[in-house]
Amino acid sequence: MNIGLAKLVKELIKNSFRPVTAEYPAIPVHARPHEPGEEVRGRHKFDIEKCVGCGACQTVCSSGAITITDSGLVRVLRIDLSTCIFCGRCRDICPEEGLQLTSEVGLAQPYGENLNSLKVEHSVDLSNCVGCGRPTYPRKQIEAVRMRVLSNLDKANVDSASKDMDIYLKYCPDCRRSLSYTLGTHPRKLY
Amino acid sequence: MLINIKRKARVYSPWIFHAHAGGCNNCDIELAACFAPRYDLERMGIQLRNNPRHADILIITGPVTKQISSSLRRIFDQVPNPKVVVACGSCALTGGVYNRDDGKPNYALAGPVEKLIPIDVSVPGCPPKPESIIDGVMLALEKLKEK
Repeated sequence: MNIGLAKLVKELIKNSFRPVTAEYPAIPVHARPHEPGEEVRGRHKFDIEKCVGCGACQTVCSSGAITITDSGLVRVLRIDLSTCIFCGRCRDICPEEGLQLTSEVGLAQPYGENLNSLKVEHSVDLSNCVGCGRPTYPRKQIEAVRMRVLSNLDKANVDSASKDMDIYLKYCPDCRRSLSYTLGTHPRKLY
Repeated sequence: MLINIKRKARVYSPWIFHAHAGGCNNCDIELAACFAPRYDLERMGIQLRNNPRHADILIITGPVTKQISSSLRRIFDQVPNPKVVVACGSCALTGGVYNRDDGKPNYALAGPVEKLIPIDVSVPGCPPKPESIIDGVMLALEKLKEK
């Protein structure tokens, strides 16, 4: 009984020195001394160098917040933060680590004013198909695919594969299929 | 002069009514956390009331279901003027995860809040952090000053 009382008094004294109420205006999450290592997912940030515009983030987005619009030779990736649920799957799926979630969580703002502040945008250049002239894939994505394929191949096949890719990566999928015999990139030549 | 005193008093001690309009209840839990000692909203003179007729600020959470839509409209009409509406969470703002992938309207929803009543402050997040909700309430007070 007495030991219990002593423990209670000790806890009471301790409690009077513990931080209880969070300050306002709020301290940024990473600067709080008593909550170390907590992961907070806030506003998105595209890495302009790394993002290739492949659209993997759009395919996994569970709330449909990420949209991709191609207009001419520009592809725009747009994240609507008012639809986003901050699950972080877009960051996890990104093959190039081009999308990060910052710890900025205070997104409240007057409704209807400066709508663009609740949108995160990133635009990449598309390349033209040499055959039909239509826009195909982002330039950076083609480079990334080339690097990734060549690094996974055996050394014996790297030369022929890189020669083939030099030719057919310039074409859109439809042209690749129809021109594969004339370009000499048909897989049957390997048998 | 009396009106001025009233206006000042209203801004220094606004009362909140919390309307839950469907959804997963997570925003409501975060809103309850705002009034707990950790993120104390009551230290700013703000109180949570259980009657819309007492309230100055109306906080709406959740996508508005068809069942609740008429009640929500009635609640909005019951709040005395001047009033400020805070849409809390991505469901209340755009429908969030309750939107269909193919773009057609969800059969259970009467749309996000903006289809039914005018919104003044938006608090995005799923759920919004308590800090974010407090920011939203502070912005609502700015709006209340102007009205």
